[in-house]
Amino acid sequence: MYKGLLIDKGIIGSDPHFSDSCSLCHKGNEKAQDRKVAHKGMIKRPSDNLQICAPCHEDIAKTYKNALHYTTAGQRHGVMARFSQEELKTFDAKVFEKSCRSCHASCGDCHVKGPVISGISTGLLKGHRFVKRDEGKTCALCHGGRVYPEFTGEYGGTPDVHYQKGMVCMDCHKKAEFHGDGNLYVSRHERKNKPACINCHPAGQEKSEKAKSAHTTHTDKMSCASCHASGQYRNCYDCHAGKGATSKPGFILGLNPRDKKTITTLRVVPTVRDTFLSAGIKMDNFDVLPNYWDTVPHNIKKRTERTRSCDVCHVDKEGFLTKEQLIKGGAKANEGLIYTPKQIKN
Amino acid sequence: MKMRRLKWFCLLVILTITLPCAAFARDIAPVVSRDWLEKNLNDPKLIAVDIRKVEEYREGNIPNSINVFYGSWAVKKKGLDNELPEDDDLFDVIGSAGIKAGSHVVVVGKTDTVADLVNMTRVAWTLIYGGVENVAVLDGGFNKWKDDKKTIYKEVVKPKALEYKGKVNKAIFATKEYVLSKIGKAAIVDTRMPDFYFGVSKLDIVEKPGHVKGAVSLPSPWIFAKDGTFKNKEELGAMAAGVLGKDTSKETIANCDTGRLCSGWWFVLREILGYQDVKAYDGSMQEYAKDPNAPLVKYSWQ
Amino acid sequence: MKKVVLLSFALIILIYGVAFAVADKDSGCVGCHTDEALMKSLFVPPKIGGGEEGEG
Repeated sequence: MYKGLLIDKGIIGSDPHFSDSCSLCHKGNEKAQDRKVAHKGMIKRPSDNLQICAPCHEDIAKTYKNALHYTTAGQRHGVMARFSQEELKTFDAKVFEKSCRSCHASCGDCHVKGPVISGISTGLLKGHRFVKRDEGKTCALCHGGRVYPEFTGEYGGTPDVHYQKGMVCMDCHKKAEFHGDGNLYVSRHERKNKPACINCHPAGQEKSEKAKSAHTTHTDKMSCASCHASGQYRNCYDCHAGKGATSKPGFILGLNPRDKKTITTLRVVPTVRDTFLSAGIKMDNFDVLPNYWDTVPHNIKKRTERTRSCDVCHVDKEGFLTKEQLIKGGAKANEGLIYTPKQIKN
Repeated sequence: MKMRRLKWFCLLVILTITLPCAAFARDIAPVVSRDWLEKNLNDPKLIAVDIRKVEEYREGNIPNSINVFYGSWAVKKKGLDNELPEDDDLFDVIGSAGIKAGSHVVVVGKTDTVADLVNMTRVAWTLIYGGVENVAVLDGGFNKWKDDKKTIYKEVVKPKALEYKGKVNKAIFATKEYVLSKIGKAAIVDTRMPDFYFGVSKLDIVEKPGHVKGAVSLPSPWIFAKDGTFKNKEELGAMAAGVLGKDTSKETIANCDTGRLCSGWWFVLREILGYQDVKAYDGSMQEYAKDPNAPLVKYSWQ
Repeated sequence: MKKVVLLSFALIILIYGVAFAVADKDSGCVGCHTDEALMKSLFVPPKIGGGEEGEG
């Protein structure tokens, strides 16, 4: 919408970001009155070069350089085990920057103008003011395929109880998760101090004996989400570089590939054997990694089918991954994720 | 002696007539104006519940209002959209909002689309089902509050959560089996637009077009004026009487596609016009049309 | 001599005054991007891309 490109005149005189000319950050030709001439050489997302913000925001620019939202290193780390050394070189040269890293966030993507997804952006967050947070127009865009619509219920399931209580992303995910702490991580799984349910919901405060006993029994064996994810979440299948993937709702329980001692909710990884074939990568080690990763669906609910009745898991075995359901032609590592719950002995 | 008996008899008759009316006695009007809400915002019994999305509430809200967005009040259950949450979940939502059975609740929503308008009546129906009788809808919603240039807060007000101890009111809720048993006996009012009633259009989520056998058509969108406010009581009363007749004691069941639109006429009939026995069929056509044995009528205005 | 000095001063002040007035005029960017009607008339809706990657 055109309003997304409208600057609030009132801030020009008062906001220190505007104390100098527009072209200081945006380049282009400020004096021109003709649009084409004015926009020649203009940089749309100037803060993608962190040095633009560094003069006043030195500390943040320093740590953000290594932060995962900027490096998107996790997207490389998550798939690289499937490549041979040669294939990894090809991936780095031809695929990573162009495809995966294309969605890395500049400072402005979170603080000035909503990120562009499939050609669409909500535009300037607030008339080109520099805002601290506006999750509904920033996080919700890049993470608008999975997490956000599941969280708000827009995907079709029950909205997460935290959203129902008026919480949005940064009420759990703190500033340091985005700006980084200076360390260069290869994936978010390396980071400590991520939000954890027990940070706000420690054991021992349950209101019913049933809840207390259920928690004690399943501690260390299952993730919180295995029982408290309210329903199906989006799973993406069959991704091909340049063509995208197809998705469908699903609810999958199985062993956590990163910690085979616990059961958790799994989400399909859209990588298939010929995902990168167009770049000449066959993935020699495809079978090393599974096609399902552990996930924390953001559709948490206090009471679910699984908390109301033990039979849902222990008798009906609902949602548990079976051999028949495995992706056709999927990685051999998938079989290691199958778990069959046992009947409860009375 | 005879006089005394007569006195007691008269008293009994009066009580029999007035006691049920006490059940319908409201402390606050079913539709409240912006001016009224502005004057009563600091009433400790009053809770203004903003049912818009969290992001919309954060951008600007009515002072002292709390945010419990629509998705907390109507959920997908057993493959059906816009269903009541389980009773224990509903009580959690009501209690977390700091609402007691005796609270005066004003539902505040948007008025951009028909869905937005009936979201308000649907939440009102849900609260009354949950045992909170004094529920009102803000006439014109947040849109009109803004147009009136009334005070807008940017703060998020945290409700004082409590354990809700209320009783569900199943008398305003109809199941499919109940609706089937009442065909030809109760008035069934289809609150969808005429093309859906007649059967030339249907939603993708509804298996077959048409209406419940014996249902009459009275669309919920017609309750509201172009600016999102309720039409006046006389006009609403005349519309209802024209379709349902003047007998307000006759049992009426309102239905639509998912149980949302029908909350519109449910609210008007019971809360504004005083019809005494009005139910809403939650599952509505999304559930009804799945049943091959449920009588469905297409291409007829009856 | 005095007249010449005074006139020169006046000329310099005039030139600076004009320069300031001109300099104070909105830059091309601000002039367009704060004008709602103009932005509306120039806006071209984006083409919606298909199959573009995104974290999702």
